[in-house]
Amino acid sequence: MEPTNNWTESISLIIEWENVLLSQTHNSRKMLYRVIDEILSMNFILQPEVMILFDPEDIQKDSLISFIQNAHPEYEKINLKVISVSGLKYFEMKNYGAAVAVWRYPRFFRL
Amino acid sequence: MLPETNWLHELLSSLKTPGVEIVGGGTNMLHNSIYNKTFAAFWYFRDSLKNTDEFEIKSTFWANNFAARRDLLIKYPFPNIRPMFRMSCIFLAQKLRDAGTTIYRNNKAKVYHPPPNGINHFMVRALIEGHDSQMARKLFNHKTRYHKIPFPIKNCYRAARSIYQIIISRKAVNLAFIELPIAFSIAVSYQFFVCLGEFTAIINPKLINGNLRI
Repeated sequence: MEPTNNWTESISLIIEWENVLLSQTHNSRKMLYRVIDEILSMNFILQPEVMILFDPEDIQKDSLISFIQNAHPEYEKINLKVISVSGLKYFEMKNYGAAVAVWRYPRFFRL
Repeated sequence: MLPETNWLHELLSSLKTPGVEIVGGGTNMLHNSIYNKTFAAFWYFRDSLKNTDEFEIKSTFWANNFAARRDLLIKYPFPNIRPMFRMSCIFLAQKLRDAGTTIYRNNKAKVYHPPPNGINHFMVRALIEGHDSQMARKLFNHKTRYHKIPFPIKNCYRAARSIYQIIISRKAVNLAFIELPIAFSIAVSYQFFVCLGEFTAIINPKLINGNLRI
């Protein structure tokens, strides 16, 4: 695929923070860093929406936000939404994310 | 999950192609330790073994790395197949194919999936895999010869297949000959817990589903 200068499409990225408790925290941080880097490296006309869905029984919202803030120095440039969803499993989180996504191209990514 | 450089660009470029409604990326595993190499050789995510950068039509997609138009996913959400943990993507792919939607894969949109992290996660993943296998057998009347193989013969077959996959993928994942016994031990141990998960699901289907999170 040839690189393009500007992206006029609007996108939503959906990240399910589902098995983060079992995955390496270091890996999760690297993943977030690279996702944010990828977004920043592309010239989006419309800022992508990045939705991080989590179950409050697994992780506290404050600690998740703090984790995100430490993942990338330029995280503030990203339209991040941290969304609490209780009792939803992996694929249910995806469906929920697609349903509430604002933009046209939901993309899914799991930790 | 670690995306490679240009992963997002590749995925979105594919979706801009006229007629493409859903596109998956390639999910690979790193080959940087015996443990990682073993999983790269026998586990689900074996895309890197093909070493292709093609844009191709596939029958399914990895749910951990794909992009789709929102309308499509609103119309065809992931089916709820509780008490199973996984496999919704396989059934969604089937539904999409039945509806005439072509599933594409851009192998340049690469991410790296980590293997199970630590002994606890290793056991949980395997137990859940066994649980799902048994649930799939109960819920869906599979017609293939493979799915008709009874427990625990199927599990012995799986263990043997894992060893075979490690042998044939040895060079692709850079496993040294001397590392093979360790790789076999890891794979067979994993399949043992898969077998245990399947057995548990036979005697008490709620035990794993009610107590484990993937």
